[in-house]
Amino acid sequence: MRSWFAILALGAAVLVATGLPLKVRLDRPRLGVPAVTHAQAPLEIFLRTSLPWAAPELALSLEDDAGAAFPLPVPSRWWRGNILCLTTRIPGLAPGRYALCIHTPRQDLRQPGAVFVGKEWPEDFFIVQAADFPPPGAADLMPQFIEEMNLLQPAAVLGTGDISYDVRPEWYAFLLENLSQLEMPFLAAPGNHERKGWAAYLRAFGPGPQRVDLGPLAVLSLDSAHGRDQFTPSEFHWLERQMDNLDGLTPIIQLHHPVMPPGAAIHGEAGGSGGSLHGFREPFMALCRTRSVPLVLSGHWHSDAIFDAEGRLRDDRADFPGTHFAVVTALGNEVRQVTRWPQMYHGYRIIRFHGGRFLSETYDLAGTGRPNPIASVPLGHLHVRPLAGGAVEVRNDLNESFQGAQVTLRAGTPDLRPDRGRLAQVLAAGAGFAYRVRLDLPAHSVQTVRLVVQP
Amino acid sequence: MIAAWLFLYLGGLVHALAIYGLEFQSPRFAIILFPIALVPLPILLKRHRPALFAAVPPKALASAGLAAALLFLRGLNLDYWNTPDLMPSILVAVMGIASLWVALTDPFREDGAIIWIRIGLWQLTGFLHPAMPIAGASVFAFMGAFGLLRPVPATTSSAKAPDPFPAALVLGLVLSKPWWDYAANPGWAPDLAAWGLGAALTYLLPVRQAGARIPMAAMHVALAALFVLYLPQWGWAWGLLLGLAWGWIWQRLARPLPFRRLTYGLLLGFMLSYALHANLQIPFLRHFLWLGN
Repeated sequence: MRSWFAILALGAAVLVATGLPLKVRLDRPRLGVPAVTHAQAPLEIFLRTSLPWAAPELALSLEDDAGAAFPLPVPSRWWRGNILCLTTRIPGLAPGRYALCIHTPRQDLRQPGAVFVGKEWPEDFFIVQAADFPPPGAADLMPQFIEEMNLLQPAAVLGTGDISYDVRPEWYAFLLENLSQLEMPFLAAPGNHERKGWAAYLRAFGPGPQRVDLGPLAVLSLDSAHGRDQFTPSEFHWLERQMDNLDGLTPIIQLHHPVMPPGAAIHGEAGGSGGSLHGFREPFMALCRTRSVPLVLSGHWHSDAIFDAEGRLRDDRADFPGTHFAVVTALGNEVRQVTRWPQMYHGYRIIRFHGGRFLSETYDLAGTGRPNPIASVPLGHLHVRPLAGGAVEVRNDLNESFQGAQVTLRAGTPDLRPDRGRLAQVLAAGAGFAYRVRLDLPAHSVQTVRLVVQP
Repeated sequence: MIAAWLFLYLGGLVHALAIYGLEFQSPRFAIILFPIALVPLPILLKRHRPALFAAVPPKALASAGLAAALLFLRGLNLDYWNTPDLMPSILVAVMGIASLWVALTDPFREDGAIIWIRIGLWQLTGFLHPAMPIAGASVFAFMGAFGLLRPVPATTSSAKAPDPFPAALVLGLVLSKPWWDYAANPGWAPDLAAWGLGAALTYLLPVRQAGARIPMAAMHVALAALFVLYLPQWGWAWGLLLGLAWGWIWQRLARPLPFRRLTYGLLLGFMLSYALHANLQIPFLRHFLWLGN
């Protein structure tokens, strides 16, 4: 009895000594696993506490881009050990991006890019997928990518692994600083390179697998990098459970490793790459087939490719039936040729949807007016250049047009209007105001937008 | 006490390194592995220089281990372990040396069924943080050094003592499956807690008698079957069965417990398990690594 009491007392003392003063960690929503929701909807916030079943006094709020704070009530909570789930309700907020702020007596946590409030989901929308992000030697490609995303305004950006090739804190700070400037949700999945310095990745984006519902889509971000290139049973079991609880949403899966090997389409030594998923590959393909998963997104090869459910490289046509197993080229790391598909450039995929149904994931590389079977969108063909007098020049050198692109102009007063496009929002920004202007971007066009005095 | 070293410290360390990665390029990795490399030293000291071994005060060492455990957990609370960091590596090494030394001071010591329940409970705390079991070994060492754990008479089996090395190796292969499966997620903790409970159940008289009648070859077959028949949704039942098998084997081991062979067998089992599970592309074999793969 004495020894039981002693071990319990010592165990409790160890817990208390390591957990005091009480602190919390925000697990979700956060950058990488954001909440995409609407006003008056419930919002679940998952925290880790430094002691099980004990939390400091908490005050939650959402903060918009102008710095205005909106308190969140916490009507209910449940515990599982040191996991604390708070359920709150989004107040009547304007659509946009919000940082989630958590104040305790000892902490002021602020997670930018955590909550996105929208109105009705549009009938036509697109998301962007990128993988194999720029390494330190190509850091300038990162702000270029952010600029293009904030111009195109996809519904979300998916980061399909190898987001960081460097484990140094300063490099992660650079990445997070850039990613937090995205005006849309960013959904992260880890790659094999994140396993080196795994703690840094977990601090930035948390462990997987994760699910984020985006309007009519359920985006499932998987961790395929166990032992470098595999799922594990618990992860696959999690995926099966998610597939059983889709609630009518269209499942879109992202995992770093390509599901299909290059097979007969392999090109020479495949640039030293060409590895594909191993653990649970066949069950995963069967699950995609039986649950009609339209699209599985991968990276890892630094090379574009699209396979059908039989594992054939589909460089003949873009609109084949069944699951599309798409591989995207590198966003910023070295590009390679893995299959017979010869094009090599940095880029990302634009994936279009209509009424929640998947339409296409390829780009009109040849400028023929229809999507190429394999190609992704080349990086660096969209530019936003500030001009003298507060004007902005927008240049689209791509072969495709985009509707509803957005530029931001700055002025000292809030009562101006743009000379072209549609004024979407005026936000207080420092001493002045930020004007968000929506405009259509025809292929190969240059447009200049100015703010003018209202007549 | 030896069980705490094997399954809380050694197992916890291998598990944590499997989650967070061991940077072989960093010279600091050697600090983490120092206690494991040191395993033969106190054994040799005790055998050939008993005065030198006895000169190390276990209470002071165990106190240092507990202090290191507190600092280690405090640094990792709400955080992840960046294994190349110097200070956590040193703390882990201190924890390991302390629990190793205290375990060796009394190799005849038996802790009975209760040790397995306690080990299971510490594994369950892994739900809070995967590093918790490592700290648990330091708590055991502290309590052992200060006489807070009551020794229990050895419960041995009437069956023939098996070779401890292959027995520990096979257990290491199987026991680590939930660790590789769940990685940074804490779902493995209840499975390992069930394993501790299963081992404790073998100390019940009818269960012990039943176990003594099972041939050792059948035990190995059972462990091999559990290696293949792992399903995360039935992890607690799997853990319970594995615990039963291991409890029966543990009671058959020769006394005093063959510390070094158990340590190296278990460690090799963990390493082999990792190597196998990390190289799933091996044709044919991969179907036996994960059921349903």
